[in-house]
Amino acid sequence: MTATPSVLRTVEETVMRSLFPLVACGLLLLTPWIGAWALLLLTYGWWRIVTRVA
Amino acid sequence: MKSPRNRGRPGRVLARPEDAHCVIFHVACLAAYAVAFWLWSNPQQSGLDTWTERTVFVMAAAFLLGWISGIDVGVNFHNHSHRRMFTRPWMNRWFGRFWTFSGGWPSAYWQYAHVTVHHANLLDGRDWTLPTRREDGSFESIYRYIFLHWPWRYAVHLFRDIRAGRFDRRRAGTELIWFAALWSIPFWIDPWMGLWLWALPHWIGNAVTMGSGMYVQHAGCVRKDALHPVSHSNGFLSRFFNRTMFNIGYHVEHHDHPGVHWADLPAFHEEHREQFVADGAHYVPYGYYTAARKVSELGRGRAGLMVFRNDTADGYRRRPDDPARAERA
Repeated sequence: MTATPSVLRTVEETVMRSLFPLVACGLLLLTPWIGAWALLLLTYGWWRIVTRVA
Repeated sequence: MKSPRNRGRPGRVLARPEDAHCVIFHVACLAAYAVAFWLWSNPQQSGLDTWTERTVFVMAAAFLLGWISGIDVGVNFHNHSHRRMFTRPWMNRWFGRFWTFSGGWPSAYWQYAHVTVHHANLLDGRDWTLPTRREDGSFESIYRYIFLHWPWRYAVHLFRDIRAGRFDRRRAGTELIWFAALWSIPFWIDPWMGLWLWALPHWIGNAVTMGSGMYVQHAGCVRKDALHPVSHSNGFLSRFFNRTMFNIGYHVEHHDHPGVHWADLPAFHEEHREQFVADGAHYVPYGYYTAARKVSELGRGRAGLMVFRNDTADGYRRRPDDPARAERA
């Protein structure tokens, strides 16, 4: 089933509005697989990107 | 706030459908804390079984949690403190209590500091939420503000205002009890977890995230008067920033018209932009993150602030000495 444009738009809007906590959840959830050092590296990379684009 | 405009139709929970994003944001923040707590409490499954790994995990997790907590209170709850999101008063009261405790604040205290102190006294001597000023009128350095303001200066000023009766004592007492009950929960589970994954993120959220945001919102600005009607705040036009930060970048508009819903600010800005520019409003093409990076560059003194103040978004060139404005004033 293909999502209608309005559903896609709603999902995109929701993800964008809550982007920062969703990324935080995603990075933390990855910890058991990537380990603490990679989490720190990805967190630093995410912060660098945001402080350059926003 | 019980204005009729915030009362939805019978059966409706949210005053505006867009406010669902504010609720989702807060729930996602609580989920992030829950994930961090679980990882800390289950070292076998999370792989955080050495002190080195736990220390590195805290460095990353506390930063991520503090970052989102600062936005959750300073931007998200901020929207609610100006325009209640729910149609029922008890929902507003209780969601507020469960909203700001994860940012290190009793909700009524933050609302008092922001609405009663900051908005009502913007840039005059009574606005103790902003950086203190040097003799020449400029803000203290951003680092001094970050390290000295929250919670130390806030606590002193709130205590004085409660004692003087400016902030209702009964309400302050009730809300402090609810806050203490909720805020202490992680410490009862594991005191070290409470310290590193709860109290530390709240310091980062308030001092670093909210502190730098408050600083750049009004850095280099002057108190509103007839000649400077909109020079009290800086405006931030990055589309990415405003989409991810509830349009807080439209800060000039927000201070002049705090009743405008956060979702309506871009359209409100477009409608009135010519007037704001003609009146001398300062707009930059980026968001708070870039602005804070510029004003906090180490070793450059006030040069970073000057760069920020001289930046202007395309099409928003100020005319500070507009004779027409001087004549109107």
